[in-house]
Amino acid sequence: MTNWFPLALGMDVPPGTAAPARLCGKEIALWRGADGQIHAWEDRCPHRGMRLSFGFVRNGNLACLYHGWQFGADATCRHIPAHPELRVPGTIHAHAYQAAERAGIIWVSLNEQASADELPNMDAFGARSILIRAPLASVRTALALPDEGWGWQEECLVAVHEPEPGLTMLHMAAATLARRLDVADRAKMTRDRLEALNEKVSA
Amino acid sequence: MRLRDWALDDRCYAVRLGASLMGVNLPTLTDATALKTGPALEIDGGILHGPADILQRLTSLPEVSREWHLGIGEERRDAWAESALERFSHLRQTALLAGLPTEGIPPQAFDLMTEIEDRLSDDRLRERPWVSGSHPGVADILLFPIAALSQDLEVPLDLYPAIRNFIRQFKALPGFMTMPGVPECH
Ligand code: FES
Repeated sequence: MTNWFPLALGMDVPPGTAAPARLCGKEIALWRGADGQIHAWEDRCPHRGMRLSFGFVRNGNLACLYHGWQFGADATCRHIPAHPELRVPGTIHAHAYQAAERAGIIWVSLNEQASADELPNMDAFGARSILIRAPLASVRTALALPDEGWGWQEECLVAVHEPEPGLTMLHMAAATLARRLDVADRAKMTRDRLEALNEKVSA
Repeated sequence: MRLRDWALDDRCYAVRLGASLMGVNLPTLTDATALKTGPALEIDGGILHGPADILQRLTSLPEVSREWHLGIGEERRDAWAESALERFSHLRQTALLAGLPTEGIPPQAFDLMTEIEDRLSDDRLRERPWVSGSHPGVADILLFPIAALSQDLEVPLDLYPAIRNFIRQFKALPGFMTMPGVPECH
């Protein structure tokens, strides 16, 4: 059983922005404050359920686009614009998951007990997150990846996750900055090969 | 000068967006034929068709900054971007006009998004900030409606990080405007 899922490249969620991600259909909001810290929350505002990934980052908080409720780095609600005087009860909070950044990739665990020791411990530089229109299982087999869904191959970190059944995101990070273009080309070639293979299988 | 325009047509939006970014005052005339044949510009007693030709014509107006022209040695990608917008426009009209919910996302929509994502992603690693080069240009304006309205084809943007990055960067440009009916949140 794997705990951590690679959801995006770190560079695809720059400081001060939020981004959507999905894990087997589960919607997750990734966001990063100006301090560089990455957060992964359920993509649902506790107020009326708006997707938090549509929100914007202000003063270290993530603000919901709909009515502007602001949530701090610890996921508790800090500010409700319609009631500026209110001290917001601590029971109102977004649902946070464990998030970590390693080897140029953002990893999320739905298991609170997951240990970051399971994550890759080398430096790497994100090169490409690329969609492959093929199921995760077949991509993993074709790339000879273990159950954790990632591995080092030819000086590059290869990791996969499944946004929805039948689709796979392949994330690749290069051991050096200079190799990123080569690695990105490899990602495209891998995608083209696996999509062609998948078409043959389903034909 | 006047634009024969259909407010909800993506190609017409590209032209209005371009005029706004370039600071051109462009009066419009609502014309339903623009929904079929795209925008048309009445100018100098003649009529210009096609969003790329119209936008290029706008860049040559005296009030428009030279920055909207390509830099020396920069590759012109307007034809590619225009063909992408034409393909998108066709897919979007089919999706919006479908009486019944359609069966999933058409494969051509994925193909188109992949083509754009590949280009934007390579550009970013090569430190080319815009499709047109070091400054946004006609090709960027032609691509923006595809990125922003891809939701109409129900393509989920979590699959396309470089396109998301392009949207964010583009929206920060002075003079940016949305299309009527498009939520700000994408
Ligand atoms: S739904 Fe988020 S603030 Fe209302």
